[in-house]
Amino acid sequence: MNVYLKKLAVPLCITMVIAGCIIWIILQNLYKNKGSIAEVRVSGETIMRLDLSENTRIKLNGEEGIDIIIVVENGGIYVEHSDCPDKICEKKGRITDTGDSIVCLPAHTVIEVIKK
Amino acid sequence: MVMDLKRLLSFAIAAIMLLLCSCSENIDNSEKEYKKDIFAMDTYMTLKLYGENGKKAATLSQDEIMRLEKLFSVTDEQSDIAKINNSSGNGAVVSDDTIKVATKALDIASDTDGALDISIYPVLKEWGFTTENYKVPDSTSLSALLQNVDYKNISINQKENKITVPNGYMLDFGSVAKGYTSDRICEIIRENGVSSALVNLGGNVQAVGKKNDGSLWKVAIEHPKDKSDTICKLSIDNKAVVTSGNYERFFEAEDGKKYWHIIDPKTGFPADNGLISASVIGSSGLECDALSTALFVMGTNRAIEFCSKHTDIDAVLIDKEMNIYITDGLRESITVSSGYNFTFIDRLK
Ligand SMILES: [Zn+2]
Repeated sequence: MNVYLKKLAVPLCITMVIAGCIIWIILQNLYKNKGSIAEVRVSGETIMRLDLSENTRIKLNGEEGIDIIIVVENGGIYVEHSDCPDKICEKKGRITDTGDSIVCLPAHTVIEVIKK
Repeated sequence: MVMDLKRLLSFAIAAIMLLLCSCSENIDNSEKEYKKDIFAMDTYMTLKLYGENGKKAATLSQDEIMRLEKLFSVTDEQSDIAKINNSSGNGAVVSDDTIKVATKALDIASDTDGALDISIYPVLKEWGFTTENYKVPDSTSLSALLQNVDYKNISINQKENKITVPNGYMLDFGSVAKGYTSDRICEIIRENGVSSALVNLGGNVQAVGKKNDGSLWKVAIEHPKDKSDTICKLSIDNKAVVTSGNYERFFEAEDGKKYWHIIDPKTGFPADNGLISASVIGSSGLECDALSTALFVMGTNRAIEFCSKHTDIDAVLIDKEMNIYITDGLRESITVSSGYNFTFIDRLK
């Protein structure tokens, strides 16, 4: 009994450590890929969450009757057009990193890249 | 032999546990953070609160912001400010909040020799900064309007809660409202048992306590001309950081010049006295807000002189040549990005 265990011990330990490493790497990657999500909020209410890995073009209704066209492209998101007078949101350009945000003040709209 | 085996096994198990732990730590990073966006006072506000009562405190904060916006709005006819402005020189009885803010604003006005003036509104309006129909006023209309600008003619009756301005005067709290509001919100947050929060009212940043992991909050001061570039980072707790700069709101006129929204009450023109950004760091949001405007208006030399006499506040001043002046109180808490020239303003303690 003891002899078998002794023979198995070293390979067993190595296998366990390798398995642990693999699980860790998989989870890390899952976590990383799921990190690219943009949350769209109008007047503080979350109206949609967009996966930045899926290219899309969406029109949304901001406050004060302001329509905004947002584009998700290759892991980033930007405002293609807004009916707002200042166009600060359009000028902001494309954002990709967690914590980055685009704000359209007149439309009370925030687009923020978040984790998850 | 058996000892070796046991040791090996327990080592392997420990290693796996460690790996799994570091995993779950990454995934489960939500230590009861509560965030709230608020659009009010013509700006975008964010509240970030930690702990059990975060949501409740955020909701109460939002109510307070809405209440104060109603009191301080220039355009809402029911506001305290409108009541004062429309009283044809007879004055109006107003709320305690309005009295507090006006009293502090007048203190700072006299402390800064009128660099801050809450009666500048008629001039600001003429430039179009209130409506975004920008224009460069001619000098005759400006000098006529400046006749109705002078903080010394604002009188506050503390007993009757009454504020009186001469006929033709117009007050506005644009340079102080956000500062007072962030003070009030931080009070509410503390009263509700939240010991870690960061309030950002359109660039007016104020911290309650430290971050929930016990480290200090990091607040960046942006490059005045390029918001994606950071000039320096400040480590703070329980402090406000307020920046006034000429990049916030400006327009380019037909003459090709840029005109910005911080008006020098002495000239009626956008303040152009050497500084492009003035940040004030202190324990009162109201004071930081008012002083950041005042220091910007004062310009490089007067602002440095003011800072060297006022050790109760700290400041970061940036001039047109990108020289950075930092008060000595920030020595331990500031990290200036590489490539920028800076000097400390030394003061007697
Ligand atoms: Zn916009």
